[in-house]
Amino acid sequence: MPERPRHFLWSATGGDPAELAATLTPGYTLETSARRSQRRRFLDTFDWRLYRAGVELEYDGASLQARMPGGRELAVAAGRLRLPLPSASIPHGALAEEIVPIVAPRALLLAVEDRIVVRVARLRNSDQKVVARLRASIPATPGSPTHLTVSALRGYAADADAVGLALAGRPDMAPTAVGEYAEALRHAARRPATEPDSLAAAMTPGMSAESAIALVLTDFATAMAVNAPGVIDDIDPEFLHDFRVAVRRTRSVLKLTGDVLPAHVQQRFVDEFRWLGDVTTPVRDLDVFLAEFPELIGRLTAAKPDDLAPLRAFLIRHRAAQRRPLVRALRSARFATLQSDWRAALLGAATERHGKPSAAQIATERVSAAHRKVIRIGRRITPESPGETVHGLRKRCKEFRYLLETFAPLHDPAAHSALIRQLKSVQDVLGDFQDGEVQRQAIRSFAEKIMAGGGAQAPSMMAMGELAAAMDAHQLAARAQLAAVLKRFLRRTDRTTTRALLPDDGAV
Amino acid sequence: MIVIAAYNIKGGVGKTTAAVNLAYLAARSGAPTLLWDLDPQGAATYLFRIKPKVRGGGRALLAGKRPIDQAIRASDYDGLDLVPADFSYRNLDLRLDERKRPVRGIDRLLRPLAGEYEYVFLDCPPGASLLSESVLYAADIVLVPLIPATLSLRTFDQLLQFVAGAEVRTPSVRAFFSMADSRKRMHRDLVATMPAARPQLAATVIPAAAIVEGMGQRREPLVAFAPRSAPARAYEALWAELTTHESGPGRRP
Repeated sequence: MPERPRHFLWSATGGDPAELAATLTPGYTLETSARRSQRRRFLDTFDWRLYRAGVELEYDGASLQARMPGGRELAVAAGRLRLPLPSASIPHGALAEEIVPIVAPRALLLAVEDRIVVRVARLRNSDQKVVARLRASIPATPGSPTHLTVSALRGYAADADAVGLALAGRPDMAPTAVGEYAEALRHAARRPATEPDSLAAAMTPGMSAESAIALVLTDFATAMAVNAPGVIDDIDPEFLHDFRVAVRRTRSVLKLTGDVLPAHVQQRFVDEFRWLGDVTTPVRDLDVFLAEFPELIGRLTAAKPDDLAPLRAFLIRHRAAQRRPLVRALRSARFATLQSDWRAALLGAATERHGKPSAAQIATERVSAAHRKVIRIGRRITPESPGETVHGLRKRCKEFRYLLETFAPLHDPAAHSALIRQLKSVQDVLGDFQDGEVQRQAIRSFAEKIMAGGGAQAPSMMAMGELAAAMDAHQLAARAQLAAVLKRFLRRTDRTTTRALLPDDGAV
Repeated sequence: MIVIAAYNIKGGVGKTTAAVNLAYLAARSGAPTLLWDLDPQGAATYLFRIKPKVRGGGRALLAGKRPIDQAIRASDYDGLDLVPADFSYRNLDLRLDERKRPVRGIDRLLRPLAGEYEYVFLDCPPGASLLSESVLYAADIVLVPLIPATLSLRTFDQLLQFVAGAEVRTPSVRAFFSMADSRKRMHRDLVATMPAARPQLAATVIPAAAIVEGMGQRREPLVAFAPRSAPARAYEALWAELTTHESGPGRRP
């Protein structure tokens, strides 16, 4: 496997690798290339997926170059790229095979851009064999150190080690664990945090419930604000997904614990967030359908994949139409006012640091109540229970899950993780049940719209019928699994389960 | 992964020259390529300036004590790696014979690399031995350089019989004329007439040229330092012929 590169920060001006020749042990020679001034552009997703994976992806105006964590380097001709670059548009090849699984379904954005002068050198041994490559990246900012990377060729780690040791002995050379991308990000306006910025992480058992809930809701408000521009610009579907998660959780927390906030806050904002939820739903549903399209095609047994092409074309057109009211809403004064008024309201609530009830008290009370509801409904579910009862259980499980996550900073981590794991097993089956029904109804609605638009062809309609039947079967299969999964959950959790989350009952 | 073995029972026919230049062309086309120098003489290893040494020797490789990827060395050319020669390879027949199913020994070593390389070239020593059988078993294509002379063709026929009698996975045998001297009448006559009788013969003919000797002096593939020379252009044509042949290079399942 490729060798891990070694990085150094070199404080010498000029950064010419030829100056290092004297430092090298006898037997090695350096062959330096000419200086090359270039614009350096690192690409990444909005949520820093490449950074977190230790991957550097650089675009030089004509090609994409990736440096993988183990030292492997990949490149592909890319021509002139338009950013944001959807992951599906990364040119095919070995680079795409590595990068797409990390970034999909997110688009690649310009993460950081600067101007550097690059000098490369090849290190040769006494046989004149190239054993390592040196790359000096000299930033345009005066006083910034040169970033020197020593990359051993495969099988020549010992040579690179010897060179690295020699370089580390120089007073103007400091070894660093940070690669060029991370180094460039240090000076960027927007940088990845090592953990997501979360105000709710500061929640303590003794703080007032009002303050604690305000912290949680502020995190969701930040998520909405941060993702809204990406939704408006339609950069990739995850912006809308993350926006809607924040809206959904806001609505849930307001419903389940909003009574600890001043009365006018709940009254003023419940309807506004319902509006946001409603206006974002159609596009999100279509995004999910389009993302799952390859899987839908895989479910066909009689129809051919091409028979679903009219459906796909319809979904794309329909999505474009549904985006118009969504974008209008997010650009509207109503949304701007909602955001600023909401922040102001939460700021006011967050300053009420002390008072009853405490965060721990409200956590214990609401989490236990939600758990009891799940147990009560769960015990009543039988294979003959109507669909609405199952949907009711799904909603209660969701509320229980949101409450667990809201108060997670207060919970015993092991007890919290165990309960989430058990609940998730039930939610997965309930989700499959819900998805089967929703998607079947959606297919029916799409078919009606396609027919109304005069685009109906028999093979397409039959293929869509086949899909609807497959979704029905999916829902039935989930229904059949539910009893066993519920039984396991009910056996493993009882009233003492939630007490283990806050063992001292939040005593302060 | 496609395994191409440059092989002939006779020595001195241009196996190493072909393996080195075709491996270079494969890597240059963007396909990750590995060249394994199985000849204890280590000519290919020398040309790439790599030390002819494998830790533990052939014995450690075949016994599985050392995974083959630890022996791999990058060449100076992007996408082209080498498993170097080692003098212990002179005993590879013995080492193979110590293992169960000895004919599958080379194939067993190459299989874990299938996800990493698109082409593996095997530069094989001359002869007809257990190692040769093991190479034939591993190969998808057996590439046979032939000097256009009567005795060479006799040896080629012997090779075809050898392949037919060996435990193989039916590799595609592709021969080509190598070191063809257009000043020699026999060479000209055989190049003109033999393809009709030997369908395995490629249309491309590699001409003899003094510049090929420059490889040993410069320690570079010919197509790298003299791309416009006649033999270099011929190797390009041969590579194009191999990669677009109708029967196609067989793909390892």
